[in-house]
Amino acid sequence: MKGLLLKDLYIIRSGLFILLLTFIFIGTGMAFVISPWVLIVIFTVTLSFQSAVTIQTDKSSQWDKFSVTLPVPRKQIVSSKYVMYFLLSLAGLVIGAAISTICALLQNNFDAAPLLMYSNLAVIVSMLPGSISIPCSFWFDEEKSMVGTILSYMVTSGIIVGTVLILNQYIKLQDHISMVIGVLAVISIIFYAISWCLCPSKICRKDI
Amino acid sequence: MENAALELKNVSKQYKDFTLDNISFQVPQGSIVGLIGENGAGKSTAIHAILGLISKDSGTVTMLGKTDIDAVCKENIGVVFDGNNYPVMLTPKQLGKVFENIYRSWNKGMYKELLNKFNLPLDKKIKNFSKGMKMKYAISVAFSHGAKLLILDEATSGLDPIMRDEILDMFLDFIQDEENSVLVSSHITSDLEKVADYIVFIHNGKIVFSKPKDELLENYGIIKCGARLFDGIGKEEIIAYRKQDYEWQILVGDRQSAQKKYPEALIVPASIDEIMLMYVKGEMK
Repeated sequence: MKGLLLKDLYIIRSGLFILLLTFIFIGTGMAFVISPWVLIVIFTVTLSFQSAVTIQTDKSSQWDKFSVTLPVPRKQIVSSKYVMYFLLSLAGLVIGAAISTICALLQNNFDAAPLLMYSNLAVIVSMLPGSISIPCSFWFDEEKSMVGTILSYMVTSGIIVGTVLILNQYIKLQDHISMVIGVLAVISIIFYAISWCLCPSKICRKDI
Repeated sequence: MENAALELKNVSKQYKDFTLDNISFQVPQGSIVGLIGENGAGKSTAIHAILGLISKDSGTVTMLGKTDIDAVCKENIGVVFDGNNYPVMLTPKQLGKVFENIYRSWNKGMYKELLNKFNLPLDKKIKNFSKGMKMKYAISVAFSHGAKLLILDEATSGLDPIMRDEILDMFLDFIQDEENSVLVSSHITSDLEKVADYIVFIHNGKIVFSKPKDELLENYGIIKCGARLFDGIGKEEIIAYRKQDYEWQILVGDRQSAQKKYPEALIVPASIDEIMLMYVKGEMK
């Protein structure tokens, strides 16, 4: 799996520098206009998305075909995408948290509660779409998988908004928002784990 | 045939508009087998079925003694597909590091030697390679991990004749070790005439024949004659025939015997290209 991850890292690295630089400048500027903690979400989503992009890159370069001939089980090829997605989400979370903390400190506005809440929000908006977009990218062609990826973010937004609206009728949500986001983050991780467990064996049976 | 490095038995795969129909053939150890056929005949589908890229509807593929592709030690298989095989934004240097972490038997020295031999720069991205360079690179990778069975799908297409010749010589060197074998599909039948030990001809998803190349070249012939002689030739002797502007061309499986029977006929040896053409475009009597 190390070789597969290395290959994805090289692919991502080729376009990542410019992307990160853009986000550091735009994000830092935005952090002073709106809440700096939004950066955590932006960085996590942007970085994790790169992993899903590599699946399409593999298809367009025929690596998906070639990789089946490598001495690596096909399940592991699919799993490596889940590993990379998770690692990139984690990296985005850490980088985003670091930059937003610096921005908050510069504004004399540091508070651990929003840091935690936005970190949880970042987990939701990366793990939940990931659990949908990774299998979609393997299963469908480029156009359809892009639709699947967009839908996965829409479904995530829908789940967050739906949960907030439903819970708002029973509890005073403002007092419990951190807890609700925290629970949703845990559910998102569980969803991601389920997708990771179920999809590789199904995708392995698909003709290339 | 001798011990088979690869054996297909009654392999079938049905699509909406195409069927790979009960195909069977072998790649004996220490030999080069050329898989020929026109575009869409089923060569790539057969190779995909061999490699487990597509599921078979029926039949078995035995590769290096194993019937389950997942149980085959893939360190021992080198594969080259037509076109590009690798992420185009990576360089051979980066891909070398990737393969070092995938193949236990990766031979870094051999890899660099082959890149040098083919004049492939280590730091140039694959996307900036020409089609020929991409193919040479794919062949370098296939030769760099101690494979015992090479499977090449149109590997020599896109290469100039000199480079093709060099690569064909590499195949011949490769099978000097009798444990090594090659299955190569190609449109360029002259390449196969040079190196192949066996020719497998696939047409419309069916195997037309699987024969030693020498047998084909020594026995097959084309009778070039007029309508009168054509009418006199026994049906059982004709494999296929074509009516050309001024003559009839008849493919026969035993040109020596045909020459004895029809001494007045002009019978020329048939090249693999001509045999293929007669089967595909000719009519059966």
